[in-house]
Amino acid sequence: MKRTFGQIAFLFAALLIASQCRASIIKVKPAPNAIHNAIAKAHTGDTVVIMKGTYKEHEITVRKRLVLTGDSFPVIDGENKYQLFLIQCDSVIIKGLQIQNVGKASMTDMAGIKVINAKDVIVDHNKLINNTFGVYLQNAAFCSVSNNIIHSDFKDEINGGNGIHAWRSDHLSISGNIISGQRDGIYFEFVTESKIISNRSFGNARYGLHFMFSHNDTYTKNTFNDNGAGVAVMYSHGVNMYDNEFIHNWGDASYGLLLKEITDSRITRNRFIKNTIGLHMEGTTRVDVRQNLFQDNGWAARVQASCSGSNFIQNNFIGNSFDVATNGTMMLNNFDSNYWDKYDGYDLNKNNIGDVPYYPVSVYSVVTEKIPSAMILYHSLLTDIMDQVEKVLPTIIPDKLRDDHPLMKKIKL
Amino acid sequence: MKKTILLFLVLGITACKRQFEPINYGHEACAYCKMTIMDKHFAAEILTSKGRAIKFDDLGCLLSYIKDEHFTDDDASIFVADYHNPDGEFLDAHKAVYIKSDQLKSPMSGNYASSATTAAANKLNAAFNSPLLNWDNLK
Repeated sequence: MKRTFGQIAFLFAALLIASQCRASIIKVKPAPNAIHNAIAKAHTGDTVVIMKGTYKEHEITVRKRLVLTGDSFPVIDGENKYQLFLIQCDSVIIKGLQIQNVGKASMTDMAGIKVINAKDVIVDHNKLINNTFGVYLQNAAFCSVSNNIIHSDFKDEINGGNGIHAWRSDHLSISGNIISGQRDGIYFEFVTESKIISNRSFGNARYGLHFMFSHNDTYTKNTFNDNGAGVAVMYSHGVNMYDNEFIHNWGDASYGLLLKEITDSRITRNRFIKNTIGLHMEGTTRVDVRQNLFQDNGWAARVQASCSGSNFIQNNFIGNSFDVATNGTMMLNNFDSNYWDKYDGYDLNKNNIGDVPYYPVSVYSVVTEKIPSAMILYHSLLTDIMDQVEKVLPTIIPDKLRDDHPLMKKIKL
Repeated sequence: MKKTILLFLVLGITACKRQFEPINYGHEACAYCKMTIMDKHFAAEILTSKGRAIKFDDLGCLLSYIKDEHFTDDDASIFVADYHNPDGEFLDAHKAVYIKSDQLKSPMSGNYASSATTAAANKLNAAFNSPLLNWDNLK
């Protein structure tokens, strides 16, 4: 009993102390150095409310655990010269701000919000307009970047920066952001154990999503459309891509999804629609491609001979100019139980599986792989003759690349 | 008539001249990593003895390409972007001076910066503290 009394007394004392140093709210109105002064004055745990207006302040460094929040999107302007927020403390929350016109420098990557060596930072519901880099995370962990609108309309797209840029970080969550007009929408380099969910990345100069050396990350329910070169995933293992949409990435070297040197990964229930090349695979090992839709692409899938141990199972291939292209005769990947709209075989035993194998690599796709300019004769009489001859006397197409159980009906996805 | 033939001959010869092919940034892809070439500080190019230009976004990609593809064209010219003057002319890779540092953050983490002279490389190196490299000890 005595001990319980002691505990209660301790609790009471603790409450008393807590009430004395409770978080206060500091309101900031537009004035020279108003935000700087408010942050200098604030104590750990305080909330700084930035009121509506325009603030021309820069290099705002946050080294205390604060909540920075905007009242009806105050504008913080970098005047095309400076970088803006630098977060160097754990558990900072920054939301409801409009951050614009960050400058450019050749040595430092200037960003609207830069998180350096910090954990548990939340960047939520901000508008980042015309910045070189939008949100930049460096050596960050357990941070969340969500529901931000990031847009840039720089004409000089080559020197632009990325929308959300993460470098040497782990356990990030990037969700619900809308990103356009940057160099790469979302860029990951050396980022592990992270999630990218429900973002929309479009109209970026290079890639909608680009990541390298980033292992065990998951990407779900994102839409990537009309980016200069689509999405590139390189030199990583344990990549999970579920329920994403890759739409209308059109151009000479554009891909819906480019995989290079990827191992032990899963590509499931994605939709590849109207891309020059839906899925390009190079040097991949054990990649599982299941239940995806490939529709109206130039090439649905381009699987280089350097890929091995990958499975293409239960995908729908509909209305593509070429279903599969490859650059060799070796095929160490498995195609099975897909639906191919070009399949013209029969199903006598009515089990919905075609009785003869389907060869998804057409003669002309082999020819254009070797001589790209031969594309000019595509759909001419000559190519039709070649197709017919190949059917009677198969010589050119890689006979190992075939689907032994082509489905007669579309898979419901 | 003779003049016309001569003119065509001259045109033909000049057209065949083997020379550096400018990189169309933002549109062309690197021959090794397939990424679109964007960063003017780190681009590189091989010009084969037959005059074919092979372009790279990073000197690291060029070196890997030479190694992986067993590229043995001794008469090929190799060009690297001048880190100090990204919009200027490319340097002869055999004469350039290099520094290597993770801080440079090149597109494919090759992280080489090329300079025309040792003096320029030293000036840049103040921030990086890397040993100075030349073409022969790059590989």
